[in-house]
Amino acid sequence: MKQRNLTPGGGIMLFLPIVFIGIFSTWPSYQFYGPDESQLLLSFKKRTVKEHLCDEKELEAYNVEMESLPKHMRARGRECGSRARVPLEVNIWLDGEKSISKVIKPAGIHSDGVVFVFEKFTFKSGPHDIKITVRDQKDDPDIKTLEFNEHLDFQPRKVTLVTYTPESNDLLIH
Amino acid sequence: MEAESDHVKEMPKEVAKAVKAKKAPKYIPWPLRPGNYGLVYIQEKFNWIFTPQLNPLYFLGSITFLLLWVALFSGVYLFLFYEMGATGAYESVQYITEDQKYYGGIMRSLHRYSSDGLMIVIVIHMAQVFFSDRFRKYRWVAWVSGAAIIPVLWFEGVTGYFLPWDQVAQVTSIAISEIISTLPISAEPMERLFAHNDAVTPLLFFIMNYLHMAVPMLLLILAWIHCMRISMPLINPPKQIMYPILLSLLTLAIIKPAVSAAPADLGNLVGDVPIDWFFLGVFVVFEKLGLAGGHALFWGGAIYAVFTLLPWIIKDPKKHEDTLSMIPQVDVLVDLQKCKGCPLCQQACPFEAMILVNRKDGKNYDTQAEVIPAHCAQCGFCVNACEFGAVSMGNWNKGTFHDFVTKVFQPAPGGNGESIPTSIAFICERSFNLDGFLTDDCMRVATTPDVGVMVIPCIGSVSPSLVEHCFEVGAKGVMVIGCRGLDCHYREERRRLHLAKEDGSHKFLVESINDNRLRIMLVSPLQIEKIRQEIDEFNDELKKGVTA
Repeated sequence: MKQRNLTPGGGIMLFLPIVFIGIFSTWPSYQFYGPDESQLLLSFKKRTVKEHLCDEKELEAYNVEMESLPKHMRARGRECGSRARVPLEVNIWLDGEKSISKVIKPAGIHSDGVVFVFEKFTFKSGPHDIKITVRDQKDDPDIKTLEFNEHLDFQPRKVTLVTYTPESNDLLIH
Repeated sequence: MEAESDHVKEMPKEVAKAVKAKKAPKYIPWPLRPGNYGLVYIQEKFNWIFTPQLNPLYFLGSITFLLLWVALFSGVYLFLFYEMGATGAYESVQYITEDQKYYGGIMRSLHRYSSDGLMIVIVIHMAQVFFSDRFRKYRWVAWVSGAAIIPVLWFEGVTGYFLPWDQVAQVTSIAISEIISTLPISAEPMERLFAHNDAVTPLLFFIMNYLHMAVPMLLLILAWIHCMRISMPLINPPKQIMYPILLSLLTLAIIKPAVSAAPADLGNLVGDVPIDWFFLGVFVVFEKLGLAGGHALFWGGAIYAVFTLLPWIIKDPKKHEDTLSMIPQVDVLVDLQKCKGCPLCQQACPFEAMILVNRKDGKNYDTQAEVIPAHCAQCGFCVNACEFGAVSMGNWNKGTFHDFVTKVFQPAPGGNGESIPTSIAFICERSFNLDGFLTDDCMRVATTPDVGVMVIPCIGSVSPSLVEHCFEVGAKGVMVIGCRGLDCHYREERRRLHLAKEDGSHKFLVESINDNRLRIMLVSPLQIEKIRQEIDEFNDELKKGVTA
């Protein structure tokens, strides 16, 4: 078959796609967040209490059961009670208005893992009252509601990360 | 018409039945179907600019491979200098870009722009395949594997945009982590990996780098699956196309080098950032539609699933009994009484549907031909390729073809006075709209009744021995009229006619017949008048004895 050469028009046309690529590989730029936006990030993991904790009688039976087992078969560091843990209630108020209200289940098929919290909240920058409450969802007066209540000046395009520290059992700015 | 009926009666039963069935064609010829016409129009414009031999739209698959090689080789170079870790990643990419401007910088730009090109070419290729009706039935494997390449390539691009760890990486990582978090693969939300700067560990860079290197292997596997049912896939584009593409990539790499945005900082929100719309535009679309995380995944997945399942959703509108082709496109059969186990039919098959297996009937041949019906396109290439008439499609084999041609050049019984054709045209049923082009019985060209016609599924099935037989039974001339370039529905006709020399199978080389009485017309579906004109001219030449 006779060898053909590319026509001048064909040569020019083959350069056109690269112009297209050159333009749209960076243009137009996109504004993901406005210049007056701020973000509050709530990110932590927390182990909630068990759904059911043993009363004295059950605890006694549990201890007897453990004693009857060979040492290597005894549950170490396991509290007596149900395997499942309670969900965690998370509420966020911005300037007195409730913005996020969630109940997050513990991880795992048996709900026996930790609760992972990741909440993102974008708003206009400037001074704001922020209130965050976190509580294990169980009717037990002994359970403490963790509270973060601050008046903060949120800088434009800044991310404020609030996290939980198990050592002090409190919510803090990272 | 009565005389024609007599003529039909004298034909072999199957032939007569086929001819009678052609009188009222109901199907819409493919060039006139919506979408197809637009594609044909664009391809024709490109043919005018590039010539049909060098039309890049006919080489989109091989251009894809070319761009993939560029991306792979440039990627290997970049990997040599890449450091894992939030600070190291950004700095190492900056080092490649700035300190090695004319080595690494160009390599990085080639890597990026070839990847963009890949995405564009694949999308155009799929649109072309869809609108040229080449995605169904025996082509489903190529369609599904091709459709799978798009998300895999996109994911590859996204992992690549993570690696420089600039602001583009920051928004990309957060967006993709929101989507992945909705999948039930980890209890811990993946977004937590990008909650603050300290959370981004070198291990994450190692994983992303590993993914970015491993995914191309998957791409190559998919490319292999994509081509595995094609007997002679075009892997390299012609050098007249390849060199300008490489030069254009290099030019852009020098004029507009790919650079990083500002370093990522998870303590700050990303404002204005230049993004690569070919890979990251989808995030913007989802954001504009208010879709994030699971919603993006669901709707993206749903649209993609519909797209992948198109071969089963859109049924083929063509019904075999309504087509103009003389040859019913039905299952191909092999008559083992005649099969000598030679590879002629296997070589002729464009879709690897004809295979040679160990002889089972005890005859003294090593092998026998066997058809894989699921792979078979029913193009008829193998029917005439078989010298021994062992392969048939709807009772049409080499012998029946020859019988039909013999009948065409015999006077009609009863002597109705109808002239015997001077020549015969083998016409591909898909090459252009044949409605009104032929006489009512589809046996002659309407405007040039001297020319007898045999409409067949593809002219790739016209063998040299068939052409010679035409001359032997009295044809003054033979015309083979088919599609231009790789417009061929069965993709092989051009190579069967022209390039067969390369693999030594001269058997199919009709064009090598050195006889002025043979005219091969590769036509555009939009140039019916030109076809008529060419037929008239050739016929006139034959009458005047110019071609003798």
